[in-house]
Amino acid sequence: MRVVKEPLFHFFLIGAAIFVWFHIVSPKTDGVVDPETIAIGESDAALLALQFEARWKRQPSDAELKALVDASIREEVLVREARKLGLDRGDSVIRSRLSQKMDFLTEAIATSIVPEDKDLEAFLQQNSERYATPNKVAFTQVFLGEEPSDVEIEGALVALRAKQENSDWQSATLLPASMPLTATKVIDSVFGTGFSKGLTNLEEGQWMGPIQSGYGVHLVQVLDVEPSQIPPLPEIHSEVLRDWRRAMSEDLARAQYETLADNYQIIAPDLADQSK
Amino acid sequence: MFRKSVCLISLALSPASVLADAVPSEQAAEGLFSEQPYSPYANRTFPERPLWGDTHLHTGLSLDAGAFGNTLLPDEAWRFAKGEQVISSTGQSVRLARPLDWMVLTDHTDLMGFAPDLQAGKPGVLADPKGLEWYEGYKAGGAEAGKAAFDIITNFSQMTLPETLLDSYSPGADAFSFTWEQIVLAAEQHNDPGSFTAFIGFEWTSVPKGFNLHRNVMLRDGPIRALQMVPPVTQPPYGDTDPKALYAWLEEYQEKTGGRAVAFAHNGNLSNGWMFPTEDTYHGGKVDEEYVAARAKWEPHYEVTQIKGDGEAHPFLSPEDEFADYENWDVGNLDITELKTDDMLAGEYAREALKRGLMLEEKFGVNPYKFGMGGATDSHTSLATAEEDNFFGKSVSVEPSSSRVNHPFIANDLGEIPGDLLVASGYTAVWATENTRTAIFDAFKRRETYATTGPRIGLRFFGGWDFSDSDIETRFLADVGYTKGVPMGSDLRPRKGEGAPKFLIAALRDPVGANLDRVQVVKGWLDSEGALQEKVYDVAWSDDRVADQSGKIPAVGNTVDIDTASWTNTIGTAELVAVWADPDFDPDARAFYYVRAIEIPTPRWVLYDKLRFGADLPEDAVLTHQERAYSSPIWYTPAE
Repeated sequence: MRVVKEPLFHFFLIGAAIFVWFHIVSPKTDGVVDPETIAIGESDAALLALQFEARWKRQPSDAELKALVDASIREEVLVREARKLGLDRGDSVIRSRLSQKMDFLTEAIATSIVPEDKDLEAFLQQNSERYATPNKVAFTQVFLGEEPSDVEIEGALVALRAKQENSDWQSATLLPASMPLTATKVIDSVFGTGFSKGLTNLEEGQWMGPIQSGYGVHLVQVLDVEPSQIPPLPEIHSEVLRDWRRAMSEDLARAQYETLADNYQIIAPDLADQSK
Repeated sequence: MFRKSVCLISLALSPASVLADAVPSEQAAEGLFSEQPYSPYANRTFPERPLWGDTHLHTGLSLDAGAFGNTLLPDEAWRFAKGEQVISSTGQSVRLARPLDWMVLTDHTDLMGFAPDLQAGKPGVLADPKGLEWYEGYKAGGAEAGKAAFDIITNFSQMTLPETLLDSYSPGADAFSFTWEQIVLAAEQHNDPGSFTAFIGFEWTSVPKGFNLHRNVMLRDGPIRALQMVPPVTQPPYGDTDPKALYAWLEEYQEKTGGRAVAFAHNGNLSNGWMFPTEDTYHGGKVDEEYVAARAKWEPHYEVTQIKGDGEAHPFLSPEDEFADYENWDVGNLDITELKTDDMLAGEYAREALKRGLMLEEKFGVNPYKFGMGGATDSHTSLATAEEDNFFGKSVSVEPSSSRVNHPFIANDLGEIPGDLLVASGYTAVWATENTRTAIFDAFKRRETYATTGPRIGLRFFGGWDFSDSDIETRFLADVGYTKGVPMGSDLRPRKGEGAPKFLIAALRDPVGANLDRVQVVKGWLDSEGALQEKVYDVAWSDDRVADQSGKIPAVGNTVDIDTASWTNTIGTAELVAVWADPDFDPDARAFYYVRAIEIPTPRWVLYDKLRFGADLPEDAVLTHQERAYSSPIWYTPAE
């Protein structure tokens, strides 16, 4: 039964249960049973007393308790009258608060789902680019100046390959003479955009070039290369789980909304037509 | 008796015999320390490249940022700094040209976390009449929202925030703790040692009567230490605007958690003279031994350039310096409730503060203004943008639009700071050996940092006594620099011989940026009369220019094409390297030296607004400027 394991299926099951529960409990608390009666029970009074105690660290006196009960009766009367007058409608505060509460319900459900590793594995494969480690290169470089002649370049290359130290062709520069295994985008931020492209496919261990940077011409000896790879799931489990949850809660919120919206016939102006 | 003496003898002998065992013969030591390794890259312990970052950024968690509609939280701010594309609060796609290496996220601590709850209309906020009023304004959007935001800021600076809200969003309240936790955990989640460092930090927003005394704080530590405390605030009764209260918090933090923290101020230019006092502090204290010791201990860094003005130098204080008049804001204090007068300026600018530090050191033996330099954005958009062609403004209300240049930053009956004066600045470069919290923090402590107004100019600065002209020929400049001298942020080694100090200076232009015009050394000193002096020396420049009669190097020229907002690197040079000796050295005078590297002229951000939106620029808008880098100083102290 594939469907039983689907997170979306779980979600609807839990969601349905919560909505049913709310449907059962809400009429009792929300005095619509008899519109003309306001009943404050013993338990309601006890709750008020408890709230008072939490705030003031003592029991309320009888007079204080009476004042609390009166205040809640007053609130109830005014709320009911306000509803009769329709004052709750069109109030942006009340509306956004209600829709926000619905979102909270969805979010709470979404974060409680525990996916199986194969769901995460599939998510990892679908979004492999996000988790791939960057291409890395380690190299040594010699700067030959802005526009060295071909003869100078050739001479420097021969000398370097023969392991001769020679300062004639080494223009002084603040650029690092070598870089350890470094992500290509970092290399580019030091040497200028595109420099790292020139390093790929160079023979390792050999002085090669010329390579163009933002400053001029370089000879380069690539020392090590670490190609981009996708780490196995166990290494990045928590990261993938976090992203999976984020994606899932967005999917669920959308699905939830669509299900609810399906209960309505929605009439809205066709804005595409209007704009023509 | 016999036994006792044996005992004594053995006691007396034993340390010696242990030592004797540990001293090997000369032959045994052979080969223990190898010769100089063949590889010149082996054993390298100094930093190879500067790490770029922003020390000052706000997200929607900050009261003012959130009230002005910033809906981006720390997660987005971190992802943006790391180079990811995000959607700004105004719905615009934005990305940095190059990712940063590190960042300190510094949300305002006062009413931290209130703004997102206001945006969401949380019941606790709406229960308060003022909260409800602001929420309705925020929801209405447009001018109503702006009015609400302004009302929030006004109530904050006048300390008239509703008590219930203050109670719910100050230290001790759950909402405050949870917001701090959110900040700490977001940093931890994005901290990626070796490739990106996310510092836990905050801004302590002291602004009594509109005088800007803000300090940012960065922690060296992770969540285990950071979560043992909540950050301090300034609103009474929960906090105090006196920096001494912040120092007390820092002391307690280190004591209680075993962690480490530093504080650094910014925008002395909006303090009306109170940032760098020499006699009295704003809070009625004296600049005494206790004050200078605490300030020296906790503030080894200063944020010298940012969106609200560049604070290196001011033409009134440095009339001889033709580059001093750069992006200065000198109208008044932060909310322009008091206008600026010339006598206030000396207490506001970094160069003057460095000079005052020499005087106070002479008096107290401690220099309270011995700071390294840094730049930051202070953006309130969650977007650390300091590039002219990618500038997302100070707050959400001035994210790119055709009219933002015409929105004043502030305007009232006393004065105005027009919108086109916002500065697309800056970043801090750190010479750290690795990209981790510990390595970068430690570099801040030893002041091995420098500021730029945005471009990633490379800058090396070493001071010593025996650099020679041939040192500029070396391919391994840093090798020579660290071996023969000390790096930026340090004290010169004790004087050898009779000569003047020499400095090895090198500047490299941004790999994708504009060429360099010149590098200069700025010297400040305390003369034998006890007066503070300064002088700016050109030490290397491009295009073989020759000094005029007054000794000044003529201007480099300007290649900016106003119609296309472009320039060419046909003037200036990519790299400037020099060894410079102080020609006016007085061995008896305390002094500091720092380097200023200046680019050729490039377009200011307003020109890109004109190009892309057809923005209607004010007639007096500055269209081109020369961006720059400021090194941390090297200090000289005469021998006793």
